[in-house]
Amino acid sequence: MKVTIKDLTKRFPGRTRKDPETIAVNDFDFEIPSGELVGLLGPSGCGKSTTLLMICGLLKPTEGRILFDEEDVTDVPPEERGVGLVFQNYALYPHMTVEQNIMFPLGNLRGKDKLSKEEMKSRALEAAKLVQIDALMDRRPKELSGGQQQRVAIARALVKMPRVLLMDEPLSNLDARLRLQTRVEIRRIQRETGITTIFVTHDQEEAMSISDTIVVMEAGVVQQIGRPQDVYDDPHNLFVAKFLGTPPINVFEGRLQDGKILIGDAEVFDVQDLAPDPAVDFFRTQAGSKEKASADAAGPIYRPGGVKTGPGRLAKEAGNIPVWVGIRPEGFYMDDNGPLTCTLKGVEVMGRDVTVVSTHPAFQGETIRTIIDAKSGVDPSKGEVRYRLRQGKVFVFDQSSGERLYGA
Amino acid sequence: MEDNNRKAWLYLLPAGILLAVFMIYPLIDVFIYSVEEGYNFASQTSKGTGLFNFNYILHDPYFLQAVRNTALCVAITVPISTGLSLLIAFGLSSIKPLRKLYQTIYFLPYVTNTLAVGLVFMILFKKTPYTDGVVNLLLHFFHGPSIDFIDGPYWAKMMVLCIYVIWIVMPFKILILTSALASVDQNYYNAAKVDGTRSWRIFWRITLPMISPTVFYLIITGFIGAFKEYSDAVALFGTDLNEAKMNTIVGYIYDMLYGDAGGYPSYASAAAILLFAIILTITVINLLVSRRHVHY
Repeated sequence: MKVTIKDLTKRFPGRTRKDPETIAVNDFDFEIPSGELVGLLGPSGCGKSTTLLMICGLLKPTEGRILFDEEDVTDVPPEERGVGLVFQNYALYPHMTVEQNIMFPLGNLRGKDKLSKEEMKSRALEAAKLVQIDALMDRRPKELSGGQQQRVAIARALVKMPRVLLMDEPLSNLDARLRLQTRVEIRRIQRETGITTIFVTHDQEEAMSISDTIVVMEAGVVQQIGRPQDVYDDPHNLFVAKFLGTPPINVFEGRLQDGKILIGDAEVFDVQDLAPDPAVDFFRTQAGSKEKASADAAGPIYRPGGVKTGPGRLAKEAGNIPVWVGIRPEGFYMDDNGPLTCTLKGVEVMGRDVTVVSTHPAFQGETIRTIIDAKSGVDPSKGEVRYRLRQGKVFVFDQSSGERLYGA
Repeated sequence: MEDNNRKAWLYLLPAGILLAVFMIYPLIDVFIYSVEEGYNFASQTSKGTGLFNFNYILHDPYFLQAVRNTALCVAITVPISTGLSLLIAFGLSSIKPLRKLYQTIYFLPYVTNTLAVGLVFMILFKKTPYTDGVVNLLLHFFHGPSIDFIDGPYWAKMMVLCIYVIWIVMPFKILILTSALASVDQNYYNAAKVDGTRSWRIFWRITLPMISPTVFYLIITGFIGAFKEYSDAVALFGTDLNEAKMNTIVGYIYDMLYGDAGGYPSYASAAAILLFAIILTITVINLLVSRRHVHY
């Protein structure tokens, strides 16, 4: 089932007449290919859950359309959309057994779809086997662990064979170890059933690890859509760059001067070594979006609100532009003659590699964390450490708009 | 540990003394009275011990009448008041506009004095030389017969009493049920909605089981309250309930102690012990039933 979201907007009225209305989701435009696992990713309050509830039908969009394949479901009530929803707190009925919980959606079927008790039982067992919970059919939710409850919730959503499976923060109620296990499990179930699945999360690692496509949202606006690796390697703005990756990207205050990137007075990189932002092609791709859709095997590239910067503008203002310089932790390597000198604070040994903790006056934040190969041998007794930067790990962002100017 | 225990008992002492003086001692006393034959208040003497008092009241037509009235009242009012409260509470939680106003209106009888409510019921039901009462006027309007609800046939009096009791116990039940309904996680309803559950199935399979602990609490306290029915009968039929054939068990106990025929603490105690036994039995049955239907 292909899911198409067109210009989706949700506004909540203010509490009083004077209060401004809240724009939870602003002009969301996206097409989810059939059978994909899509992660809606963003900090809390970014509109990702609102989007999910609108796709599910529990919330009505203010504007825009939602299509399942070619069918417009915007005004179709949730029960007729054929969606399965897994709630964040699972919402398992506490007074029913696992089997009764899984069977509950089947009991709602009427008319020609009505199932006999045996059929319901066998369907429930089938769903339970898929999530490997079939040994616990007589338990009540209270008698299950968090991970088991999660599986029951997924089985209940799957038992009526939904066209689209929706999951609201599916892993947030699980402990760290179970989370790893369950996300692999969700991936497997999604692959086995082939159901188009959309899930919401604020955990970038979770979204990156299992999604075919991630949608990064902030303040109701989609920031970027793409394959997880592409979004990581090619963030379109400072927000996306900061949101993805652990440890997070290191952001320095810098300048663009005569084609060079400066942090403090150090010339850390030559702009020529950096590819311009691909979104510079944005206007062209917008015009010919059809060819783009077929040609772009790497997944859709999306930018909200158009691009205000480009090489043309930069060339004109090449004099001295204040910028944010974002460097991934793995984008540093040690070089005694490297241009970037940082004050060494400590070294954390991770085994395969080490995390070097340092500071720099132009750094935005507490400490710079860089991941260095364990063999490069950092001397913690030295007061400073010098870095050279890796191509493809340095991004330059406009200070006012946060849009990316150069990088990757 | 030992020291802590001593302290704990010390802190419990004030409450313990009060309980002992005002609850435990009288309870024991009541039990003793009930088995002492021919106890005399003035001389504080009795002729002996035995089950004579119980034997007497069980053959007393007034007591049997009181038991019958009480049982009938319990059997009618508890299911009806609980069911109606559930319906109204469910309605209240489904509407949005004016909910607060309705809640207040439904709660009014709870804060109104029983005797004041009795006066309202008199206006509704009592026949006087000047008017037949509002209900009779309504009956006349539909060409119905004129019925004396206060001094007339037994069924009419019982009906008025039951309506009265239902009316007076409902506010509390509605209040408790409304808050129970409000505490059901909205996600259960959302989950049911996504699955296309019809509203009656949501009510029977989700809402009712979720609030079942509250419902059983109300049923249990409802039974206890209805068995102790007395003041409402007085408000309607005056203090001579035996004359009106509308006496209740508590009314009988009161009469035996202080009524016209008063001065029989032994009979009163025996009746009180019997009432206690009845309430205990019903409550135990209720608890056993509720254990089978309440899962958390």
